[in-house]
Amino acid sequence: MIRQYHTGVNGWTSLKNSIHNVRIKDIVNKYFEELPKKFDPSVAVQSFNVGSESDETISFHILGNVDSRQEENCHRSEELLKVWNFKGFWIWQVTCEFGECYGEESYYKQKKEVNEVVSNIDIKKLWDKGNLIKMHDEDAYGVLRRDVNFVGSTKKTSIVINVSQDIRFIEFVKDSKNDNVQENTIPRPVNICYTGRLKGKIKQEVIDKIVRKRLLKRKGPCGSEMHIDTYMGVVQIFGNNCNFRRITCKAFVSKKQADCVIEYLCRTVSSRS
Amino acid sequence: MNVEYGSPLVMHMLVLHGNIGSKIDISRNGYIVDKMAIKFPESRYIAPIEEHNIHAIFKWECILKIQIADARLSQHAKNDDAANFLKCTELTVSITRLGTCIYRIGSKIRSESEDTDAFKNNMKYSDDTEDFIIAVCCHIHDIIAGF
Repeated sequence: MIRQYHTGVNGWTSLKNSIHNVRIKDIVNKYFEELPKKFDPSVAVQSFNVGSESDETISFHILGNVDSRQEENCHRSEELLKVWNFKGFWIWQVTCEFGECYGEESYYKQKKEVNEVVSNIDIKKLWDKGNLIKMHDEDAYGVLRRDVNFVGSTKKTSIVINVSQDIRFIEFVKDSKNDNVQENTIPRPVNICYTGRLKGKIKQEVIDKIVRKRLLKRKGPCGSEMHIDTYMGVVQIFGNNCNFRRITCKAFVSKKQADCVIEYLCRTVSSRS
Repeated sequence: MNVEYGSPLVMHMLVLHGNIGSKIDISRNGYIVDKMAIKFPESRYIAPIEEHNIHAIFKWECILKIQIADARLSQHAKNDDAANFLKCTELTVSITRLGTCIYRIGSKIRSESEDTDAFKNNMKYSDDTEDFIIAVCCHIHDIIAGF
């Protein structure tokens, strides 16, 4: 993961949760030794390439150029590069596997040097030589179908992170914990409990009848006389005290729903009284 | 005789759950503790007990003391019935290192006056008051998510 340390505040922050975070975490864990431990993005763009020993190249570009944490963002593109050997040229197919151009393919040809032979080709270095000439898809089509000319492939990943200007320094941290950060969600009620009172006499036989018919529990928890489970929450009705009964509603998510259940309950016991 | 409300329902506990969408430093001298002290100086930080809980906890003894810049939000708190209830209402926010926020709103009415006295005190709790409390929590959440 990436930890950001801000000017004038203790501690650190991390990147907001996005579809890139899991990939960034995997890259940091895999290439941790190749990454700088600490750097300051406010001075200039900080760029790092990792994966030199593997068949992929990953570039980080980190810029301290947005005004606040809310504006921080991350962009990632991943391209698969395949190369074919065709007469005096290397023919390249570039397929976007992640990013704004997802699914797009483009073709390039690159003039082969006189002494270049397939067995000595380092595909990453070959691409980095440049001098690529864009080809029309239809021109490349026939060539690409010849498997016998296929040389190999490499993958290029580019990650651009725009962070807040007030960042003093950033560090890459190895994070082996398999925990998921949930996306930003506004707070929602998950459990609301209410207390109220009912007025009026509920005859004992009505209670007995309801309890039998609806298989309710007599003598519920907390000293209640009736314990009623509904799909909106739980209602507990306590013993009669001068024609009043205390009620508690638990595990509801709004007062409207609790009122609705109590009103229904009142109607039910009234019609039987 | 009809059975009806003797006293309308009054909330005594309300729990909300949200996420800020990033890992966060909840250590004692960490980022969130520093930022909360700057943004909400009226809140009280309750340090976690080592190996017992993993939350950074912030508490407001009275929800009305929360500084709310939004005029629409503060309008409801001026209503007498709502204010009577809200001044006895406390808010506790606990934040985990994975950015989960639990907002726990508790009414002190029940513990102070138990049962019937609460209703004699003319405490009224409406749908609007509930909406106000939830809106205050969303307001705090927006600020924390922007830290």
